[in-house]
Amino acid sequence: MLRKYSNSRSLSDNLKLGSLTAFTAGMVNVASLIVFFGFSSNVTGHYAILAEEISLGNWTQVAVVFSWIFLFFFGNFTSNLIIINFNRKYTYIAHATPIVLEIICLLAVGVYGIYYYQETLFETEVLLGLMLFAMGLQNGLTASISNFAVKTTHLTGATTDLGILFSMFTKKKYREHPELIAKAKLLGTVAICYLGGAVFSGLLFKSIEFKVFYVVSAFLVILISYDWYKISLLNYLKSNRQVKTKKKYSELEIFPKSKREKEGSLAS
Amino acid sequence: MRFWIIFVIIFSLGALSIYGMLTNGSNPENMVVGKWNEVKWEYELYDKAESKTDGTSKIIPEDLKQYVGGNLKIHEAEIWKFDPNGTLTLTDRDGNLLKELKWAFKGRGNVLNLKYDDSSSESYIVTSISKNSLVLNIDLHIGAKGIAKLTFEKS
Repeated sequence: MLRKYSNSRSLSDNLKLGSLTAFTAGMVNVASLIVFFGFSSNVTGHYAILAEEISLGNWTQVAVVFSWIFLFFFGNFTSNLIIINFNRKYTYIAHATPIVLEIICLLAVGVYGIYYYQETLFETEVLLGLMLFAMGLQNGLTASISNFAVKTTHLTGATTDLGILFSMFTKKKYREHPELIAKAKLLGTVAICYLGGAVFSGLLFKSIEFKVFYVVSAFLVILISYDWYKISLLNYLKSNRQVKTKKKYSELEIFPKSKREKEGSLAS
Repeated sequence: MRFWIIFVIIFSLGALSIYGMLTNGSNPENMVVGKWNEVKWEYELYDKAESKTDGTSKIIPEDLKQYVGGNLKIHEAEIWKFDPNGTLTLTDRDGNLLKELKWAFKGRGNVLNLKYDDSSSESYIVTSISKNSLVLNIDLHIGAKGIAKLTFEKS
């Protein structure tokens, strides 16, 4: 899911990455809506609110909403900055670091919510900002490594594309187009997983409240562990294969060498 | 090195602009503290055919207020006293205590959340708040065709 970059990614890679991250994004968004009365994974609405607050001259609200938009932007910025600076040398680490940062942010929200949250407005605004930063990190990562094919924290673009694709599928020549089918599969999976995560979070929040952020973090740990396991397995298989190949070649080389030595001695 | 320079510059610019705007604004948590008298109930977008009003005024009669506020626990209170410690005291005009509950602002300060002892809660949209006036909107979610609006004056 995280190892490959840009065009080297397959549909299966994008489906795995898209489904898991969309599920977590749906969970985070609904949890933030229930507990803080604010969206944490989509910023289109925040832009509309920002405009409204500017027109009303409510500068505190302008600052708050601007800071949320900025934090989402900054999450995307940080994510991509890490990837473009460290991608060549340490691909997996560069791709996993934004997820690790996201886990730290979400765990911080969960721990603070359980042990320290006094329901002051300042706390609400800061925690919501932290979640927007976390969602920015996730969205920046998925979009960056998938060559902008996977965006999982909001569904405006996905719903638009699905609408267009489904209208195209009314014609046979498009229905048989593998690229369009793959895109529809990916977008449909993202939308369903986002919705599934949102419903799951809504149901879960009633019983475990802030601990829902631990569950989201656990899903993200699965995401990075899966690739870590794959890399370890691949490295093991690779080294094992190298040993076998070396052995094979050395056996093949020894025989002609000894034969040549024998022939040489006979000639002399 | 260049990585960190870009990172710090972008973050500092964002943080500075947010700080500048925050220090020039007002906090609804501070503004709401005090005693507020309920002045009127309005029922926006109400169904004129079903209401018993003459259709010219948006101020609703007591029976309709009872109907739309049926699910709300605080609709009979007329004086709301917000304490800085997060307690909201509801009294009638004669000063008789009706209820004590917890208040908190949510979102960007646009939602007033009230929590009762039985852990149930109600949410009000803060339409406007100033030194002397407070307007709250209730989204009733009961199939009523409209949104109830409560207007308060500071006493």
